[in-house]
Amino acid sequence: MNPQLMAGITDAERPRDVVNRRRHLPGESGIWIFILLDMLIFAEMFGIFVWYRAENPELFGASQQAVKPVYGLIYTLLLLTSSWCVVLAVRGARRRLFDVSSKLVLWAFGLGAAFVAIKFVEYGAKLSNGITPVTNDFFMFYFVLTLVHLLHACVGLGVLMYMRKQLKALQHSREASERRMRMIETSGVYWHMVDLLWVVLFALFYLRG
Amino acid sequence: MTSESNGLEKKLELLGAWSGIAWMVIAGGAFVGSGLVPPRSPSMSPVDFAEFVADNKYRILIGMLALLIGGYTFLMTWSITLAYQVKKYANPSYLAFCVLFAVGLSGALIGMLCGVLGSAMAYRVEALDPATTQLLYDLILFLFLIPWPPFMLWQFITAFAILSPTNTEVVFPRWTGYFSLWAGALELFSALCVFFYSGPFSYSGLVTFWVPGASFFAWVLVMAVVQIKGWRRVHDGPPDPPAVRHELKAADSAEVDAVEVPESAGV
Repeated sequence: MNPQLMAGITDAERPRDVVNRRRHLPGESGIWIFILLDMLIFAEMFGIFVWYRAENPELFGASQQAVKPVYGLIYTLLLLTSSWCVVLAVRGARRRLFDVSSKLVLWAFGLGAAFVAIKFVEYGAKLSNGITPVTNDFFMFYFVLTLVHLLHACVGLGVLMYMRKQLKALQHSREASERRMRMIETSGVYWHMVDLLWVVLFALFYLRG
Repeated sequence: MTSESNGLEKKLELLGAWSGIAWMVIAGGAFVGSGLVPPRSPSMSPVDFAEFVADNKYRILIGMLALLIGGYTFLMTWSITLAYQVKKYANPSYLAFCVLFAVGLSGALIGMLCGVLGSAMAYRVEALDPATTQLLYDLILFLFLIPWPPFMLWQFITAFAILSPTNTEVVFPRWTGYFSLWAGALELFSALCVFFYSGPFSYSGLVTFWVPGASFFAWVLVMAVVQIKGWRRVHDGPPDPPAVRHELKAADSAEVDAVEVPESAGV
């Protein structure tokens, strides 16, 4: 791990544009609109799930036994580590360490791809045991919410590739550097949203009450 | 191009943008006024449902007429205007324009079919088998919800055009691109309705009906307001308004010069 990414450096050593960015909202303002609205929808679904669970705690409790916490733990480790790589990648980009940042984004992509692959394995195991979205209300929520999150993660993989493309472009040219840096931050913000949503899903479905 | 036809084009552009708001008011009013929204649950018994339609027969018939006048027509005019303005102010791609034009028309046709089916459902409700009446209602809701792919494409192409480097944000600020992405993503929920007969993911559900339904209406409203404000900025501004930077050479672009657009443009 590049020590420059991990250690702090003084303002005198920081490029001016990095200093100016220290207190700005990362990424474009539009991505925050997207995130707030998207999280509103997830909040609605989480709220409905909690209401249904309160109406039928025995069914939900019994059904949750079929959801293995070890999967949740693996997903959480994968996504949190992936997000950490993205944080370091953005920090590296601000310090013009584009090569390192690009590798970190690849790592983030790999960890995200592992999340997606293992999710399919988990779905396959459930389906082969006869557990489907129409089995009962718990599994209706389980499949729909985790599938919607999975789709967000798949889009996130594309966003990470776009982020890497911007890093590569900055590595070779200073053209449109401000815009590219903004898009790098925007991409990172989206991936962190995917991670944050996962934390809530982990708590709802994988942690035993 | 004469100044008279330029004037007509400008007026149509503004009216087309306003037709988005008109569509929202009339289509929303028609669905709610007819009693078909909030939607009945798919697990409602056919007899109860047919009784509901019979009790609200004329309300439904009038609502469907309103839907065909304002819902079908104005969605068409608004979607064509959106495609025109996206091409003129955001990205000059002909292919994107064609996609937006085509999917907008298909959306309007869906509105038309909903109106026709709703009318047929109420017209002979006394003579029809209740299961048939309910099937017609299923058709209306499925038409509204499950042809989601072109709607998602509509919103995504709009978003990509607005977020492309050619957009100088004279009319469409970049946040409307992200907003369009959000609205497009939510269309996917519509697909769930075919698997469930009750609950939040059925066609009357809090998620499957209300999320894509409300987000689509919100998208049309927000984009229409942005279009109207943008039109005023472009056409009611100073005598020589700054020109768009990209390569579009529309027929009425005689007044467009190669002048940089101020960065502060946008809603």
